[in-house]
Amino acid sequence: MSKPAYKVADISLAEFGRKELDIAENEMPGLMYLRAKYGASKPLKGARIAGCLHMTIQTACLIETLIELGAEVTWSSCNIFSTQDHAAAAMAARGVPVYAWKGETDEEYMWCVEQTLVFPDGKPLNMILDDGGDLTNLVHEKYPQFLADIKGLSEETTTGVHNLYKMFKSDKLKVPAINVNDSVTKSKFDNLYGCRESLVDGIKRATDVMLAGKVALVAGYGDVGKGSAQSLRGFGCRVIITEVDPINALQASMEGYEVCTVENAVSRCNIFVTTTGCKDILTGKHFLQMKNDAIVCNIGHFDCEIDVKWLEDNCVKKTNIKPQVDRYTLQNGKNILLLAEGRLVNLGCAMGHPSFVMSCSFSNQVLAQIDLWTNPGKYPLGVHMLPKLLDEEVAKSHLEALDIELTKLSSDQSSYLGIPVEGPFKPDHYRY
Amino acid sequence: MSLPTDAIRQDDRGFQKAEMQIMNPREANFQETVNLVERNPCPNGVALVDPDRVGKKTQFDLVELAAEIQKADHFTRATAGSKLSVIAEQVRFLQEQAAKVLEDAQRNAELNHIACNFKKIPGKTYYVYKKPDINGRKYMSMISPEEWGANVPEFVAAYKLEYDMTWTPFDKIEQRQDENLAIDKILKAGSQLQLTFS
Repeated sequence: MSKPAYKVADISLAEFGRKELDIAENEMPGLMYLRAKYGASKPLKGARIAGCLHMTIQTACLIETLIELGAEVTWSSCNIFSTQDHAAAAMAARGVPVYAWKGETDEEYMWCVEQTLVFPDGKPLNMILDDGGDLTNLVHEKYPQFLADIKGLSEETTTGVHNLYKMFKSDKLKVPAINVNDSVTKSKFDNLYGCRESLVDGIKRATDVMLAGKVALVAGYGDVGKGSAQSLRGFGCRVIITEVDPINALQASMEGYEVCTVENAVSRCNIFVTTTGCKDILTGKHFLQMKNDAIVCNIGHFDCEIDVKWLEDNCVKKTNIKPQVDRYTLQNGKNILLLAEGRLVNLGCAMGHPSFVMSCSFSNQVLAQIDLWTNPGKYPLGVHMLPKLLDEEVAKSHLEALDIELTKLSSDQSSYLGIPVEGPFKPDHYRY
Repeated sequence: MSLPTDAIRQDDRGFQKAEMQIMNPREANFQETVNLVERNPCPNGVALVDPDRVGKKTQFDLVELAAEIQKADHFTRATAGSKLSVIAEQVRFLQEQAAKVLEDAQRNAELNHIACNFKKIPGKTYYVYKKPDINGRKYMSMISPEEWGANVPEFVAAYKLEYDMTWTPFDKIEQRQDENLAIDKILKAGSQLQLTFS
């Protein structure tokens, strides 16, 4: 078997990728700050990081940061369709062994992940940077011989973190793991601020609808719901919230939103957004009560919030307007506009998270990798959160680019509060 | 008891026996091909006494005539045949070319529609595999059989996607490259060609 140095769709896209990367760098100040701070000391020297995370322009910026900090890196994508081929080409062109292209088969996907395990010099990986847990599982199940040398792993997303806790409970986890997903600067930022921009972006690209004056229903008032409701209100929508949790329901009401049930709101609304993470939020009986050409979309993680199957089975006619926009004609003569087939509307109809918010997530990844690599033994076997101090460092690394001036505690104030001048400023249980 | 072949050809007196010719009813009697002029028992108004006697012919006369006709027939057939064979050869060549064009078109269409998740880039080589399940559906991959390593799926064939969006089978890639180079050369020479009219 001969292992290729890289495998991408089209290496000639490298130049285009590089141009977009230059723009992204400016929008990812956290990563650039880390390059400036740690670039000289190369704390990741000796680390051979195998990464499995959407091979996009933003990720390319993460890869180059890891390299600048001294690491060797190999990469595969954690989704068969999410690779941006020009980003992958730019990485391949600069010598990163990257195995990713848009439109892999499942077998090819696993092949790509497997290619990243052994580095060009023949030595196996000693760090894992994962999104979703497939790389982690592959090494634990098929290549346990590499586990002994792996110093740690950092996991990007909820699904992967669930998998890690499950592995740990059943004694299968053999590597100390950092849960990057639950850092404040990760989930609080991309769920809230990411969705606040991308939800409306998706609705507008799909329908060009005027939002001002419309009535919008946002199901769920978690981080995603808060962001969604706020941006819709910003455009002049009258927003109605539905909630099951009394705390979140009260929060919504304190923000001035009407809170009621879907049943009582459905006939008044023009736009429906589900953000709950729960199933069967909008079902057949609701669709039948909606106004003509009501817009229905989901931005919660799973695609079971909207009963798309009911629409498919019970519509008189389904018209595809354009990719990701379908118009269902119901028996009562009214139409429903469904966006992104009930999947994530910000990914299906818009471009997902902007670079800036990914800079927050990826700065967490970089700091997790540094902490795991430079402090062997600090983290016992198990799933850990990134220390508060590093979470705060991620936030701090973004301030300068936004011209934000931070107030410093005086030593007097510091001893009055009992908080160190350099932080951490909050206890671990603080909820922000 | 079997006799030696020589013995069969000799009779008991030692004379050679001629091979007996048996008429083959399926073979056309070539004597029938002789087309004689119709008889006239009363030429110029004078009736012949015995037209049969006057018109009596030996068997050999007919055979000779028939042989002449046959020879002429052969010549005609040979000349026409040689002329036709040139045309036939050309037709066969054209037919082959037509078949090849159709075959190529079919192969290209098939390859264009084979299951594939990614955008194909001209100039790259792609590999066709069979899914391991019962349906055994074919799909296209960028990974070569050598690169696959241990878990290589069932390999079918490799093709290069040309810039005219046609597919060249792997074993013909070099030949096609040579052709392309030659065409390039001609095109380059052509662009420098100066046509002068006096």
